[in-house]
Parts: sequence; C-alpha cells; structure tokens
Amino acid sequence: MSGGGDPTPSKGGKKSVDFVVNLIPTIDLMSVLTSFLLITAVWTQLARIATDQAISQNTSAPPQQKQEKEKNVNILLTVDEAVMNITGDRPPKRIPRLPEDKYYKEVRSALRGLKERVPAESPKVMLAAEDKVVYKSMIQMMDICLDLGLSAITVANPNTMQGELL
Amino acid sequence: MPIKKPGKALGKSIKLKNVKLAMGHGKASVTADLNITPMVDMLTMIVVFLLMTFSATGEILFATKDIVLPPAFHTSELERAPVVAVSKATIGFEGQFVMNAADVTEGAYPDWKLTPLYTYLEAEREAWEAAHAGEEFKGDVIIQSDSEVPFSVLKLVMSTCAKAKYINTNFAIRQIGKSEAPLGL
Repeated sequence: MSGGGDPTPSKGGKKSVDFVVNLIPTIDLMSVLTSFLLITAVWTQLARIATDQAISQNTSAPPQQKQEKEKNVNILLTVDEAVMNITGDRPPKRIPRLPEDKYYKEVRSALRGLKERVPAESPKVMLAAEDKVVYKSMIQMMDICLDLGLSAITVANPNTMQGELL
Repeated sequence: MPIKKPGKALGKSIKLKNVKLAMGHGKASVTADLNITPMVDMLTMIVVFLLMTFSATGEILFATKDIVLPPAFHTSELERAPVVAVSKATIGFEGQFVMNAADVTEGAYPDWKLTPLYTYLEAEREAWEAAHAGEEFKGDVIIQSDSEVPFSVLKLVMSTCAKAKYINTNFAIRQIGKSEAPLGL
C-alpha cells in the first residue's frame, strides 16, 4: 500500500469518490519533530544590550575622544538618586529614588526632555554609576534609554561623570 | 401445521439470525478503528508552539543558579563572543572559575586590572588572532552578571576587558515582554 491513500471499497462496482489519506507518515513526522523540538527547547529567552565603554583610564576606546565637544546626555546613578544633564548644562536634573513605578516615570520624562534639547538626531548617552549601585538598576536605565531611541549608550568612568555632574 | 423447534430470537418477532446478517458475517471483529484526528491536531499544535519558541542562541550562555539575569525589553539577539560570568561570589570566563568576587576591590587592584581575568582574556584574543590572521579583532565580550552585583565589581571587570582590547561590551539580560516591563515602557 502506498503512502497516498486508498479509495474506500464501493458497493455495486462503482468507484467511490471518497479518499482515505494515510496519516501514519504524518504522525511519524510530527512525533519526531515534537521530540526534537522538546529536547532543544530553550525556555528562558536570553538576549543582550550592546554598549560601548569608556571606563578604563588607559583604554583606547573611541567614544572618549570627542566627548568634550559633543553634547551628550550624561547620567549618573547613585543609591539615592539619578542625576542627569546635557554636557555643560548646570545644574543637573536630580530624580530621587521613589517607589519604582513613579521613579521610572520621572526618569523617562526627564530623559525625554533632555533628548529633545540635544541637537544630534541620536545623541550619545554616557552612563555611569556609583560603586553600590547594582547591575539591575543600570540595565533598567539602559532599557529606558533604548525605549526613548537613545541607542548609543556608553558606560563611562564614574569619576569622570562625577566631575561632569556633581 | 408442523411444530418447529424455536431458535434464538432478539425479540418476539426478530430472529437473531437476521440481526447477525445485518451486522456482518456473524463473527465479532477483532480490529477496532482508532480515531487519530484529535491526536494529529494535538501534535500539530505542539509542533507549531515549539517552533515559535525555538531559539538557536540559547547555548551561548549557560544558566547557573547563582546568576539571576536582570529583565529588559529592548534587546538584541545574542551573538557568539567570550562570556565573562560575574556572580556575587565568583568571576568566571567561558565556564571556568577565574577568581573570587569578594577579592575584587579598587584597593586590591588600583590599576583596575584583574590580573587572573586579564590572563584568560588575553589568551582568548591571541587564539582568535591566530585563527583569523589578517582580520581585525572586533573586541566583543558578553558580561553575564547577576542582578545584584554592585557596579564596583562590574567596573573593574569592564576595565579589565578594555585593557585586553575587548571594548564592545554586551550585557546579557533576560528578555521579557512589554507587559512585564516594570518601567512603564
């Protein structure tokens, strides 16, 4: 019997118009596919956020070179607040650590305001943090920057940023 | 009228012989048809679901119980690059233990260069350059850090990477949907 199917038996010598499809190869294929996909399945979706870095004093990373002339959005995260400005602007905007939802709304609003004031179409963001700030806070700040279209993020030396912002 | 011996009957007027003829040849069939349509439906749905969730990049990073990645919504797909794993207790490189994170302080490493990690990074870069003669070294590195690791450790790790010419830092995160993002995105 071939894999295509068989006409159903008919009565009275007339050929039946019904056609039975042989489903066994389909089931075999589905079973193999299911087993393979279950074995290779990844249940946690891992991804990345790409940044430049200008963190080492001796690094030859390019973002540091033109930094003085360019108007960047500077952000310094401390345990108590987020401090941000456009290069050269004083005083910087300070957003104290509020309950999470309110804090991030304030940060978003402030960053959007800074972005609109920077002449460059896609301004650079120089992001630094104090020693006690945890990795999760930095990632959340990067996520907000990316959501606002600030995709050129550089992780900067905190000492440099403190000089710029504090 | 002659007297006939009564045969087996289903009812008063239906002879069991007639019923047997209507049903078949009188013998109970030993084969049974299994309805496989629901089974095919179910398998199809499982295959479609698994194909949609299939990811070929999962093997770049090895999930460990002491590293909980932070969630983020705006992300890029992972690409193969050397992985520096930073937990609250240890620092590793490509699955190998390198040093204790507790020893990583600015006081212990005033030049911001973690020598054990630098050795691994440099060896990896030299191996890459030997295998890709004539190509420019891109300097990509993935930092797979626990959510609660302080920036004091991360900055020394990043500085060490930069000193070893790994300047394109990729932070590993756990991708989430927009509805899960706690940032009002």
